[in-house]
Amino acid sequence: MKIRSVFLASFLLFSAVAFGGYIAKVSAEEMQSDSYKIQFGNFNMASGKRDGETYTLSDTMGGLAVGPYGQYGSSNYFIGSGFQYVYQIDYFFFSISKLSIELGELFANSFATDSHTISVTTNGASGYNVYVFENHPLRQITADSPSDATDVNDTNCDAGCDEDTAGSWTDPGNPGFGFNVTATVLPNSSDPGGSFNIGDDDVADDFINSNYFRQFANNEAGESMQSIMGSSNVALNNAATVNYKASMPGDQAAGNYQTSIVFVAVPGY
Amino acid sequence: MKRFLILVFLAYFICFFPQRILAASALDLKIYPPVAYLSVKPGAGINHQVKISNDGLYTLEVTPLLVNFHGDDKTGLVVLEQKSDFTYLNLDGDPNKWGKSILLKPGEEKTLTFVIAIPSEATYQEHYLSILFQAKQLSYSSIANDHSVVSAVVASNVILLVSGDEQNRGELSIEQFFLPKVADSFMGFSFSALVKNIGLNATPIEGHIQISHWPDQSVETYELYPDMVLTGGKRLVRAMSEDDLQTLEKMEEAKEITIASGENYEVKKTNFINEKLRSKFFYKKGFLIGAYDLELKIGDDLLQKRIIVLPFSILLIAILIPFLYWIFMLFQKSFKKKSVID
Repeated sequence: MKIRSVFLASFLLFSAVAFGGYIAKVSAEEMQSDSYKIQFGNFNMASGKRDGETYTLSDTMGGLAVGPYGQYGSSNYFIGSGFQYVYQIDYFFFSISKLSIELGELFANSFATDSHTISVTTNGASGYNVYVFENHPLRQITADSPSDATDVNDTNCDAGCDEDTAGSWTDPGNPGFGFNVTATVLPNSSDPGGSFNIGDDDVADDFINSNYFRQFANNEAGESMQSIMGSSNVALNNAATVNYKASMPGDQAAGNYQTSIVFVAVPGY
Repeated sequence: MKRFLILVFLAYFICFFPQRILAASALDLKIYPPVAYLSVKPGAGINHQVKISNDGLYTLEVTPLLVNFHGDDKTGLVVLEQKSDFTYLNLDGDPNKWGKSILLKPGEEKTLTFVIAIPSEATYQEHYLSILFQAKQLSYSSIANDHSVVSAVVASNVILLVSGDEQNRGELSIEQFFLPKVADSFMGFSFSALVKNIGLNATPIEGHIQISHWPDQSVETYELYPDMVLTGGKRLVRAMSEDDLQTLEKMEEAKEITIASGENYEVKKTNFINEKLRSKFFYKKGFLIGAYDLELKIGDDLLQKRIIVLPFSILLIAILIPFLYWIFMLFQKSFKKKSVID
């Protein structure tokens, strides 16, 4: 019994050490020296030529070999000119903390809210932009008659707002559906402006505080998606909290309403 | 014995859980390259490979789409368009694969090969394309009635030049050089520059801004960051002073020491770059006086401007003091008169 326990304990300890080490290893696949850093080093790993019927094919792997055109492709563009420590091209990361907005059952004269965070890492100094749109307004579809849909329209806030200009919205007597974006500092994030003053962080300036809401751009109505967050600098876990808020008109039935929200993260060039 | 087993279990969980917590986002996408500059000859082809990783918690349905983009003519931010009529870039060379989803499990990375095959009759042109990857959680139910769903689109940009040779035909010209004519000695002065690509393909900014002040030929030099400017597009130049570039180099050399001392090197470096790599420059060093000459050099284009810096604030105070004294005396007189009458 004692031998079996010691064997089991040794096995678990071995697994812990071995797998712990393995996990740490897979997160650090990069090469570096004093003068350059290559992540997932792939300078033309799959280079070569293949002939097709109408054209000749040559391969580039992962894009590092495909620098700016002509002379710049083979020059010191990426690792020279004094800026070798500012990475021009690197991985682009985008994350959303949850993929479901739980507003619950909506009632008249009452706000229902939910939130999640979004975060961007560019590493390179080309910046990024995050856009957002909804596929349609908040909608209640009953299983019995799917064609009879009831919408909660996008908010007009207390004194007006639309999909590209936020307005104050604190009165639940003004029904609608909208969102607010507030800059957030995550662990291991860079500091986009020191103290998150308006204009310093990456969030659009019209979100003056957490009471300022916008409508979502409605894809069903052909509205263009709108930028909510962006920077032309290096982003390292630059994050924001997206706050959703809905209030229902008094003449509508209480119930569950749903839509689909799409965030579009685009790296700069 | 029990205590020993508990300790082993604790070691096991300590080793596993921190990594899991770090990857706790529901959707966590990683894409490479975020931007690629490709040059293809008419009648030739290229395999452009894009890596996409799912570091989130759920299996994702990823659907590739192709749209055009244009620049914002200011900062290099991408403005997406609704669609693209460019038909020579396809996943695995198959035009039918656009809009068809692939599955990406948690922890999985896929390398997708986009074949760019340019017909021989294609003309010299630069194309601005964004390969969009629409990612949503794999769902087994068709309708979610009680909650709203969130999904993401991540882009990988392709700047594609169709050209018969590899000659760089990009040409930058100085569009505007913003510099006030006068400034106060105590306030310093700010300046910025906008360049335009009047050439035929995208090209990086190359050059410097030099400030000279007699008798010094160069009191400060800013090296321009090699940002790309698209054909016909404009971009504000970004630069870093030579001193800051040296600091960055020293910071890189001391990387290991920084990490060993418990500081987060990447955060420190990112903050430094974001603070120093600016498009609006501000020059202030102690007390400035006289004429300052600024030279902006972009490629072969050179522009010089002069700013006169004088202690206007002191002059203003010097002018105001007699006036204030006169007002003070006026008040004093009227007060005395009033006292005599009383």
